[in-house]
Amino acid sequence: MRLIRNKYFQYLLVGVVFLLPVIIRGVPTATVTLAASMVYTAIAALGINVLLGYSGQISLGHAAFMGLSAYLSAYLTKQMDLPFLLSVLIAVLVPMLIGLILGAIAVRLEGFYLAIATLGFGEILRQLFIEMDWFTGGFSGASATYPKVFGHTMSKNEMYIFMVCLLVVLMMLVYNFVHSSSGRAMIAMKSSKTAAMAMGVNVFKYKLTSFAISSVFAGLAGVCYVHFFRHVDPSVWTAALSLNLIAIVVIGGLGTVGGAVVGAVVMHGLPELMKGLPVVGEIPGVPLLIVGILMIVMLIFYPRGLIYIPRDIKNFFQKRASRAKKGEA
Amino acid sequence: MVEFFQQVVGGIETGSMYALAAMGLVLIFQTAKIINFSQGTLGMFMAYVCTGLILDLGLPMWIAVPVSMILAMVLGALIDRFLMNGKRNITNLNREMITLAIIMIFQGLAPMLFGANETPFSKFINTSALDVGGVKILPNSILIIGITCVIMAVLFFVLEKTTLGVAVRATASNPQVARLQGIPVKKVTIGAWAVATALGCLAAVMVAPLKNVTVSMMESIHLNSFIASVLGGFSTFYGPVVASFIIGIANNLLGYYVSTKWSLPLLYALILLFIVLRPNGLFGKKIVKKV
Repeated sequence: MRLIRNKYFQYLLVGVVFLLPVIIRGVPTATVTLAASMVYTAIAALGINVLLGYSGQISLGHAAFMGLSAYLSAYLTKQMDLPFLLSVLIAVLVPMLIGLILGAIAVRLEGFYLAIATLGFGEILRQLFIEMDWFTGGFSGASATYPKVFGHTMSKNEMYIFMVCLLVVLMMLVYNFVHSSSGRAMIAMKSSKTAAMAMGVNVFKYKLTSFAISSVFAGLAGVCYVHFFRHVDPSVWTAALSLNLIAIVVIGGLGTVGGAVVGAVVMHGLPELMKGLPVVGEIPGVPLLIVGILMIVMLIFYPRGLIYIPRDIKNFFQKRASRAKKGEA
Repeated sequence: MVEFFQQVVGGIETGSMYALAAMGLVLIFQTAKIINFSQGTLGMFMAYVCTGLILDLGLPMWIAVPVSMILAMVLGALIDRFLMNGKRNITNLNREMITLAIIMIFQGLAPMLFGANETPFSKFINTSALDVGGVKILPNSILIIGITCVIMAVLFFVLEKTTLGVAVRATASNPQVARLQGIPVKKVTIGAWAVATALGCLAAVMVAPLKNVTVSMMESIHLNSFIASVLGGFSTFYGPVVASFIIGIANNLLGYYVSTKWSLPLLYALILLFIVLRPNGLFGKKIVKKV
């Protein structure tokens, strides 16, 4: 029982569940592709959770960071012939630097003003993706290959396994981070900036840190995207994706490590599930409609996030058990 | 110089559509303290309803547009009553996420009910352009600008000079104190949602002849009205309207004198710089927070 409560063990379990489509034979490749899109979204959503859930900053520009990393990694590995790991490092450092700039802006701005500043940033980046066609391939997009590490070219499944391992490691890192003194300082900053400053928390430093971390996560998600799907075009990295990431975090559970993953699985899984249904999936628009309705139901009845469902079920049974005991006495 | 004025007139025309949408955003933000991300999508849906009224029921345009605006008001009121205030323990962030879900619902409903094809939408007035000292102005543009000015004048008159306006402004400055003083805050937010949705519907009907009625027709207007609201300052009613016209005109001028490709990114960069230098917008006041 103690082992199950251990967070690291839970995260490993999540990884094992994600690996099932590769382990079990005869699973169609479409399932692996769907699972991969869940994994890369979960990585980006983890970063957003650090930003929004733990330190209370909002960003509508992270989709553009994902795109930037995807393009950078595609360009560096294909056109410049750099080794995969080096190109990943560069493709993640660049968004981190931009994230630091945004963090410096965030020191002056709050709430909606910050949302707009990041949104404007994202839209400018997206316009660059469209116009700089020597770098991004314009509207038709750029292509990439499966990564080659130490002389070994990964297959599709190996790339997927790499992504799942990355996700598990990142979950553990986030868990450690938010339980460190820096994490506690961020949570203090979220509930009240002024009070945190009075307690001696360096708000400037932690705003920069949270933006840097979330940009790195967005960058890693972008790298995973481009090397799994091997194609990237500017239509993906819109503000709608940034909003979607926030919705994923809120639905999964704000300020929890598992919430980002649960949200990503639900928000990617539901539409596919709807499209697969016999009658419902055939009429255009109906899957989207049902997902919207389910999302409202989840938000109204589980405002704290889906991650709390197991805990509530457990509490429910414990209450019943204790009531039954009282009845016996 | 003629070209300059030509661009300015075009800017005022697009600016008035931004202004209507921005007014809707600010009304909801001020009274309910949330950003309504679904404003553009609701407008798009109502534009579909309006085309349906014209094409299927054969209503003339001057009846169809007011009817669809009234339907929009009902829709907005229903959304506020049942989705925004349905349960008490949800946070404002959750409410904003619900507006995202509303986007999905109506983007699913529109192709389901009206088909996925683009539908053309005729202009209000189809006569040829007037020539004012070399500047060509379509009567339709004059109508759009005129309607916007009249609506803005009526809204500001109501907000500033009537008891109803006092109730709205009191709710905007502090909902709890307003409730203590006997102002029906819930009715005020329902009214705000109704008026905002109708404004979004009107903006969509105005754009419809330029872009055809499609699912994505309102995206750029929604985005720009959102940016205008921040540029003007969310804490005032007039700021976003002024900023909408500034964005419309500046976008056209940058497009004509600098580059059509880069006008919007350049504009966003300028706005970004401005927001960083003046974090509360053009007219916004700094709200002092207490611990």
